[in-house]
Amino acid sequence: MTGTPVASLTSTNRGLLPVGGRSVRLRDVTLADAEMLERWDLEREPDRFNNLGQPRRELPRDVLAAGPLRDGTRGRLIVERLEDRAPLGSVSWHVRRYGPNPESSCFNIGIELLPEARGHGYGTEAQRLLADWLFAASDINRVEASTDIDNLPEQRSLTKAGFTREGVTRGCQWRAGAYHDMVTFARVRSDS
Amino acid sequence: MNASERAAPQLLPFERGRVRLRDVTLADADLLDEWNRDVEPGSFNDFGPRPPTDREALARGPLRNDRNGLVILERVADGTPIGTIAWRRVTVYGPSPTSDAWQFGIELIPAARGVGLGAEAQRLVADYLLAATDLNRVEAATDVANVAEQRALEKAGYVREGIMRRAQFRGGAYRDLCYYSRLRDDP
Repeated sequence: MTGTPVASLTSTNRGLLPVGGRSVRLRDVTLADAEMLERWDLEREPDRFNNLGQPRRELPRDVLAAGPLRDGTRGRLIVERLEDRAPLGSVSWHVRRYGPNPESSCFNIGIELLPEARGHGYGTEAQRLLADWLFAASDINRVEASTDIDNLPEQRSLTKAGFTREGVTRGCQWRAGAYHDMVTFARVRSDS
Repeated sequence: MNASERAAPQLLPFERGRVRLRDVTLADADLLDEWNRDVEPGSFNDFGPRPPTDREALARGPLRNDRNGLVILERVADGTPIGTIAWRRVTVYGPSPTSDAWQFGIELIPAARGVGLGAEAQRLVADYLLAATDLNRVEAATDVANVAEQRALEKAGYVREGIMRRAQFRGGAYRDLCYYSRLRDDP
């Protein structure tokens, strides 16, 4: 992604953090989180939907020391439980383009929660908070999320977080030795 | 780039029925510029003025690599160029290149529309891309208001997948995009 117009549309610099809801809040990643995030990567369950055989990458300490993990193309935030500030996982986003012009950019978001943090509605709240925050922090018009067609908990969570189910992208993701269908959900700025 | 993609050139020209795909040559540059100037204002493919055709790139070879491509669409009967098909590699579906897909777009000159040539060409480009590379998926997106293109994609064997709301900004407004795909195993 290059050029000023895109960066200005998709910059989240005016967004205020942390941003909190009823039981979780989102905050920037700091240098002190680096080892924890790397441990989460290592401990990711092998059969999970988010295990796509990604190479293990060290988090760039120099980038983290210089500022938060977000720029005009992508970003990542920590999801914390409000009552005890326990880190529960992370949310992330990156820019996706639907046309030749920068205005046709949107944010595609993702979430990973620790196993013990699932099933309490934290993910739903975190995804709603993230979408609200991205609309407030940037000039982007659309926030979308894709999940495996078999990942029913995440589909329920996105629906509860105010996302609309838009369609099934067939045979698009290679995971665990086979092609999988993905379901796309989105919130657009004009949604209530 | 994998071996099958390097082998792709020998598949062009690629033809069936009434249409043929062939590489762009330097001799086509003026024609492409003329077509690009003539895009109807306000039409579904109008995103403002287009840059001139890259003649230096054309002098080096076809407009095609492992990331994207542009080919001329010809009527087989008389060899007349009737439009273009462009494609690019979409890398949004997963971190592995195995999750990449081809997304294409078609442009037909007005005189060639409405007689089913677009549908034939769009079936042909899916067959070509799936034969020339190892990717699993060929997709196309079109404005929900572009009913003619949706009919052509359905005739060409593409499956309608859904509507990406307010995804594309064109003519001063956000538009809904309709998604279609053909997979390697589709009948």
